[in-house]
Amino acid sequence: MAVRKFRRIEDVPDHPARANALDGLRAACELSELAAAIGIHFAAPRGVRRFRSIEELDEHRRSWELPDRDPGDNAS
Amino acid sequence: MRLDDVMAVIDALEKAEVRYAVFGAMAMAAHGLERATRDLGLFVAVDEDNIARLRQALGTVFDDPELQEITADDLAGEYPVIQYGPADADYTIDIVGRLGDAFAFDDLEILTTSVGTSTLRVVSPATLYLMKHDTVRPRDRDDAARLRRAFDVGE
Repeated sequence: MAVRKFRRIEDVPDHPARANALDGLRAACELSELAAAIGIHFAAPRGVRRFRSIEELDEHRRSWELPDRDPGDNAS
Repeated sequence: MRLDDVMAVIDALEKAEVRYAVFGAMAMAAHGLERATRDLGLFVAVDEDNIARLRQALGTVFDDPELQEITADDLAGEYPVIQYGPADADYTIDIVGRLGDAFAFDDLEILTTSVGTSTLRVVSPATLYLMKHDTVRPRDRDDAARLRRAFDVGE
């Protein structure tokens, strides 16, 4: 593939849309498995947790996406 | 998160006739804009019958009594966002009944598409854009920019 240069990240085109939704789901899962394979492991919290907003969920997510934190730290 | 995990949940939701729509990163992926993710986002209708079907569907995939803690009262009331983490999994299922004052289930534009032998209900690119373009998370703003470029939405 030839080298292409862009002035801004926003200018980089996405690759062409995949043929179907299943291919897209598969690609996302493969990316996630690749992240795990190269050592980016996350201990997702188990069980049911309730949040008053998606922002509250995001705040909790940041706590367990950081590998050194206990996923139960900010549990609701 | 493996494809089999996602499809097991989707199959179960379809068989139980749950009113749901995939949103978030997995919806982006279904529209061809994939990135790594650790959650499966499900927007659901919050009536009692639907949430009972949701519990039943998830119960066919995960043998977990904690699923009974997912209630319509919470999703329609003080806790419109519920996160379920299956045992021994590296992902969560994020169940949403509404997003602030902006989105409830009936506000969503939902597309239906085939995925293998099953069906997937997924939030449309235009609705995804509206969900993401005005948020503070850099990840969401990036998603919104990708949606705008790929689907000419939001202009």
